Amino acid sequence: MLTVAELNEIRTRVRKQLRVRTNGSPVKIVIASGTTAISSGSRAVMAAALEEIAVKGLSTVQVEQREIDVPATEQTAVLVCAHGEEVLYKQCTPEMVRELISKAVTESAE
Amino acid sequence: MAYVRSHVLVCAGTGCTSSGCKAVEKAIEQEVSRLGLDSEVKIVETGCFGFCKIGPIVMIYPEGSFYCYVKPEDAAELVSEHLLKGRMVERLLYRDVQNPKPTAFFTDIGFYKKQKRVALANCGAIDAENIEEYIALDGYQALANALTQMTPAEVIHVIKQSGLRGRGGGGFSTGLKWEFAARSPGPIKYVVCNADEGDPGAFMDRSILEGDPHAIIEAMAIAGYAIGASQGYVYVRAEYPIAVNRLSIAIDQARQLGILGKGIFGTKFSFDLSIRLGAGAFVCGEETALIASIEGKRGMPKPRPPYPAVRGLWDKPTLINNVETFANIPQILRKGAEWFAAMGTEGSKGTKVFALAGNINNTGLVEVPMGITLREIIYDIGGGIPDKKAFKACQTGGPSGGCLPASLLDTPVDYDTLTAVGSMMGSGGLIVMDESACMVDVARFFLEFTQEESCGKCVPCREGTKRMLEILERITEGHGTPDDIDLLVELSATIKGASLCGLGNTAPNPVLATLRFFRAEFEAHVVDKKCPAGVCQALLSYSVIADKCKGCTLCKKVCPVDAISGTLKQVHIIDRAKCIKCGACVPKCPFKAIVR
Amino acid sequence: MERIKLTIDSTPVEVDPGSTVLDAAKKAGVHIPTLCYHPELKLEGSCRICVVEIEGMKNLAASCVYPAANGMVVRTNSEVVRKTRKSIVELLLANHPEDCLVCPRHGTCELQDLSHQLSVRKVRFRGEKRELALDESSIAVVRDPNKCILCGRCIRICEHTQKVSAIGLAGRGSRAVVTTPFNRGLAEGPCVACGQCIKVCPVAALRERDASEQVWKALSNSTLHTVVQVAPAVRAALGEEFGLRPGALVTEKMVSALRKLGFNRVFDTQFGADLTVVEEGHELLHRLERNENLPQISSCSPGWVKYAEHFFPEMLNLVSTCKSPQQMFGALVKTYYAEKFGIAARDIFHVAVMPCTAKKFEASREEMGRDGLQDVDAVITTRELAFMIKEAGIDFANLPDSEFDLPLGMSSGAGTIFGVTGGVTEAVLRSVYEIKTGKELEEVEFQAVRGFGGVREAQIPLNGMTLRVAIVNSLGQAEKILNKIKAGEASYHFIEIMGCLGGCIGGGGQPFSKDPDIKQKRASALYRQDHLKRVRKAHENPAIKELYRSFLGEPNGEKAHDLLHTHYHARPRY
Ligand SMILES: Cc1cc2nc3c(=O)[nH]c(=O)nc-3n(C[C@H](O)[C@H](O)[C@H](O)COP(=O)(O)O)c2cc1C
Ligand code: SF4
Ligand code: SF4
Ligand code: SF4
Ligand code: SF4
Ligand code: SF4
Ligand code: FES
Ligand code: FES
Repeated sequence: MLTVAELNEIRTRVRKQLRVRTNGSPVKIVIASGTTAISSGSRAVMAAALEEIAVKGLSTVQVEQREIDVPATEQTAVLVCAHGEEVLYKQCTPEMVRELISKAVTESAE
Repeated sequence: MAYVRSHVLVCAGTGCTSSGCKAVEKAIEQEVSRLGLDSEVKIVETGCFGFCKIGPIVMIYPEGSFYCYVKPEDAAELVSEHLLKGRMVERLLYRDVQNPKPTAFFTDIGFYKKQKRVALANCGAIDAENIEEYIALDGYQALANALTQMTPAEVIHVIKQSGLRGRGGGGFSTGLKWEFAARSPGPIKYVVCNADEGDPGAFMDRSILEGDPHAIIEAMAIAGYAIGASQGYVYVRAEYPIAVNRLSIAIDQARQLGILGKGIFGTKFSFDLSIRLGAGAFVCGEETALIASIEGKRGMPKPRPPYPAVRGLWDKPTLINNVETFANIPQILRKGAEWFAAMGTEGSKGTKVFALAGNINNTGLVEVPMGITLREIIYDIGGGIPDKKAFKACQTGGPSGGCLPASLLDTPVDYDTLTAVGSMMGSGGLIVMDESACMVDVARFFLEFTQEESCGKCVPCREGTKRMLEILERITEGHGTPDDIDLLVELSATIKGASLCGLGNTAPNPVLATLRFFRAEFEAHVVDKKCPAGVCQALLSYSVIADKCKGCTLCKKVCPVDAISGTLKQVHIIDRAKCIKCGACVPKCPFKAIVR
Repeated sequence: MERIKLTIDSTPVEVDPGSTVLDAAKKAGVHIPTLCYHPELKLEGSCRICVVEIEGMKNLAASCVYPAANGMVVRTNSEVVRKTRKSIVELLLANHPEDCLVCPRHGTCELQDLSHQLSVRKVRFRGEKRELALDESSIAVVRDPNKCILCGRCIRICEHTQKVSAIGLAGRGSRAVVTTPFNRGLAEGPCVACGQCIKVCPVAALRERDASEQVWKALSNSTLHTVVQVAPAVRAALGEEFGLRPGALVTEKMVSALRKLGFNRVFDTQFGADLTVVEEGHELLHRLERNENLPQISSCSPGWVKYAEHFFPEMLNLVSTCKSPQQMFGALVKTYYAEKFGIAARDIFHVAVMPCTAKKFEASREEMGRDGLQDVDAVITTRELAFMIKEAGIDFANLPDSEFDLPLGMSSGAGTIFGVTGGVTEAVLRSVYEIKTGKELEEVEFQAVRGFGGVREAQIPLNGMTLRVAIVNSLGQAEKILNKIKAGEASYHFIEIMGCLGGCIGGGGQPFSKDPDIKQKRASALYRQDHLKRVRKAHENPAIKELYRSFLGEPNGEKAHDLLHTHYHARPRY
């Protein structure tokens, strides 16, 4: 038998997963994609970003990917969108993206 | 647990299933795993998006990209471009009729923009086979709250306050119905969900069951609590295999979690559900016939009173509501009666789902606030009439409703206004007809349906609809007389006034409404023996306009009975005695010289 | 309980809760036409002829099913009501053969009456009419689906009252028909030929299979010796066909009429009934002695016997092996009577006039004859006899009286009351008591077993034991009691089962009647006749005594067994 508390628990847990579908997270991390980005290592950046979110159980951030028009040498570009601002970071590494995410999330929580 | 950055929603409703969504889904799955994206991307099967005509539909989040007509061959491109490289596949994105630029986020699409999705909120948004997704979107919270915080009377009070009226056609106050059922004494009562959906054009009930079955389960449990019932039945037509399957999965999941069964949420309330398959007769959707059918008898209506709320299934008090009616319940309890009552008009609150069909660009399922005008539905949401043709009429209420002319396009859609103009809300069929429709023929079509579907029990409906149909056939075949119109009116009065059930009581509506708004067209048939729209074959006569004919001989070649004579560069002539009115010559003439 | 007050055509009325608007109208003295409604059947509300206007309602209401409610204002004959009713009749007629002039229900047809009553002068709706095949498979009942107005009365009586369900509705809309399972015909199903469906059919869609032509032919054949037997219930109803008051006893006029028709001998089935009492009484005493095959269940109702064969084959051992009065009589006509008067059995044409359609079936049973001859050559119902009398131009009401021929026209009061439910029991009790105790009965009338309740029970002291009897009329009641016996919830020594409501007086071959008290009236005619009889006990009938002495030997003896007893066999339902 399910209790009301257990019901609430399921809701909180699964709702995080469904955030993707609402396009409503306060923090958006856009990781450059496209052929040049991928060859510069954007997939690794992506993997790191996803891992960071999963490990820390973050629920206010969503990851998107899009072509970001910067010279190949500047890849992997990452766009951080939070409280209405968009900041472009270039030559991101997996480590950098982890930091960016943590920072953006803590800031937006304040 | 890994964080999934993208969800690919594949519509797995009936429409998209028949256009091949399963193969698309499989191809996408294979591509995703070939590119090693399994842990980042999740593929979800959903219920109907309402836009089945352009299916299979695939929607990719977080971008909200709305892909249509997706084929398995498109999977590779879709996955590598969109999911891997983050580039939308423009050629597959949906384009509005009005606006050729592809629309990105789906809520910007004209078809969806003016919609207000309440009953359909979860359809196309969640995996219907996963109870957790339903719970994540506040599912079963209303039930939990009702059971632990509210008395049955309070639940009924909220429903009454909301102003919700039955969506199955009758439009009776849901709260009042619940109250009657609650007041009927007796230890055993039943809750029944009417998912027979017999109206030929309608498929909202199917879509809700396919896309959001838990909402119905939750609502029925709430209803059970409110009226004092511990058993419910969902009566679904057997032609809805996907809906039946999703619903049974949902019932099993709810049982497993303990949301159905004994002592729900630790209270003393117990409730369970069974599915009953309907044989598919239209009349089985009528509540007393439906009850007889569940009881294993022939699905035939019985006189009311007694109403089911007093004496229903197995002679016990029984609450019957339609699927769409139930689909509103959890949200009303969650968001409050005021929230619901804020939508709609004075007498009709909330939203209504319509099935748009006929001569309209965007056919499909749309949910709109009550009070919206027909024009908004047809032009803003439906994208207007294709091929630059003129609007002639729209039919609401299915076989029980009537055709409304262009002059009534600004009629606000609600129960009472539609009834006042001689049509009905019905279950939400909305068929648009352009100038090429013959209204006598349309009336004949609907009467043919009700005549076929009459159960045959009572005299006015059984014998009367047959005679009405014969008269209409006579008129379309050119044998009608002005007296026939009077006879139609008189028969209509008898059938409406004296029939046993709603089928008969409303069967003449399509005829009466067309007579009211398109009487001249009837008269043209019986007096001038002409069908102005050129539909009634027997009333057509084909001829060549001499001025336009260039003597190309094309028509002559196509005529199957050699009714056309003439040689090259001479005006051709149609021999009316020979012509079998097949119409083959008309489109053949490059100069539009042949007219009916 | 609080009474309901309402107004019908501006007359205030008060009715009990649970009453319909139709009930209330009756109370207010307002006549509302009905068609599918039948006082003995479940409500259906399908024909809609009884519609009325109720203030505040959008549509008309069918008064026969609409519950009366406080404050209701009802109009039963406003313009719209009248028009609607007329249209409904027109709609029925538009899909009905124009056969009135040659129809057996001409004059007794409720549709015809309605059309007349509502001044329908023209049928404005023209169109396709059904053209369905007649079902003539049954020897007793003919179905003419083209005349059927789908009122469902037959289905209701067959399903609810008789628990047979030999007919039902099939098809939708304008293709709806009353039909038999798989449309195979009545003879192929469980129909027991009781004719109760005919009795409630408002039109000629159900009727008896007419045997009068056969009888006319025999009557005009001078080489044949025509012998007729007439069942008790016939004399209590035949007068109705000639405008006499319901319940008039017309025995002597009936005998005269039969003579006028040309029968050589006019005999009384009551003689056969007396014989049945003696045989069945002895059989009962025998079973009681051995305590076997109890309760003994009467076997004189052929509808019931066929029902048992279809639905309770496992209980056939309880059914008395006695033939019915008709068949005992038939066996004697072709043996005893033939020998005694030196007429070859094959030269005898033996007609039975019965209140019952199932008797037509019974007479055709294989067991009911010898040497290739059936014991009863033709069975006609009360209604068919009436038609013959009319056709012959006989002025029935003014006929002189005359008496049955002897010896087979001699009967006791016991034989008379066979025609009403409880009568067999009473008749058997009168004899069994005297045979068993050797004492004369002080009171021959057993009031306890009389009446019309579906099931009646009585306990009769009999030489130190208590005889428990039950009386059942209608097969639905039979089903109930048999199931109880099977379940061990009831035990009796003797059960009388009559297939029809009220017994033979309510048989499927009796005149159509709209009199709600018709059964009581016909029954009282029979009880009156019994009362007037000099001999009231079967075993005291001198002709019966003579029969045993000179021909049969002992009751239940070898010869009696050979001629007067029979056996049964299980029949499939479908
Ligand atoms: C001929 C006929 C067909 C009907 N078919 C349906 C149907 O398919 N689905 C439905 O919900 N209600 C149908 N109804 C209405 C039901 O009788 C009933 O009013 C309804 O299920 C009540 O639910 P609601 O109050 O939620 O609308 C039909 C009524 C008639 C007279
Ligand atoms: S109105 Fe039509 S469908 Fe309804 S009971 Fe009468 S015949 Fe049947
Ligand atoms: S309508 Fe058909 S038959 Fe008539 S002229 Fe044209 S092609 Fe020939
Ligand atoms: S059944 Fe009645 S209406 Fe029909 S033909 Fe016979 S008498 Fe006439
Ligand atoms: S004769 Fe009796 S058993 Fe046969 S169909 Fe009629 S009612 Fe039923
Ligand atoms: S056969 Fe007679 S009783 Fe039966 S439905 Fe038809 S009209 Fe009614
Ligand atoms: S089934 Fe896919 S949009 Fe309707
Ligand atoms: S008599 Fe009332 S509906 Fe038929």
